[in-house]
Amino acid sequence: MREQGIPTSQQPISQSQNASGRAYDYEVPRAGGGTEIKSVQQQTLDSSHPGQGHWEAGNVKTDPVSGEVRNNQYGRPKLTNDKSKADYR
Amino acid sequence: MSYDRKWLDARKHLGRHLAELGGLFGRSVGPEELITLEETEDIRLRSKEIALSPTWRRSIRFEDRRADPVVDLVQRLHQSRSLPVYVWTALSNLCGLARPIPLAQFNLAFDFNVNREGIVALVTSDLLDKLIFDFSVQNGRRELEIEVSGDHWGRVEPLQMLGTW
Repeated sequence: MREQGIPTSQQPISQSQNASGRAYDYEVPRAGGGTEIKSVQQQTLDSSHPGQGHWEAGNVKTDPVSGEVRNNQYGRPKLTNDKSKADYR
Repeated sequence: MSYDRKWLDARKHLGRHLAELGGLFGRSVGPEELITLEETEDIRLRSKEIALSPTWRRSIRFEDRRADPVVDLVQRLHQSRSLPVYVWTALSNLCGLARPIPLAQFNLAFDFNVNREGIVALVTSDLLDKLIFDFSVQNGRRELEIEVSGDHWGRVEPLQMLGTW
């Protein structure tokens, strides 16, 4: 979370859970003004790491024209490709 | 955001924006090819007023982005509506859109790391049709989701699935 600029003390603005795990969304200040939405997501269904879930954090991916959020096959917001990953310890 | 703030942001990210456009155009792109922030914002607002339907999506391996079915799809889109396209990334909103180019000049061989967001949209200059390349790592594999929408392009026969994807 720190790597993505999300204060660990901050409360999420929303949280959800589906087959791939839990997700927490945070509204954080955007560099240069305004705010942006970051998401921290549990990934339990990553078939490339069977039985080894992990967490991912980053900016929510949006359509650059409309601003609409891009969702993955589980209906969860996709993260931009500069996301961070942390394996379970 | 104030005009000064926008201008400073545009200056700050201009180099990265032009480098991204270079990767997407397959040639170097200069600042003289960008339209102003005001024109960009005007186009963006007008595009949001248009309902882009119908829509279809297909996911393929990122490595297959230059495969024959994808090249064929681009040709069929061009035949369906042959207007030049705006190549739109997140930085286009900060630094200004590049002037539209022929769809055939878009570089399908773009690198996976061409931008941080992993998404680029191609919008016809009349704002009625849109093609999105959304690339990311899903389940450890590099995936390219192709989304086609609009009154003309959305009716083009969808891409057939490739290989074992």
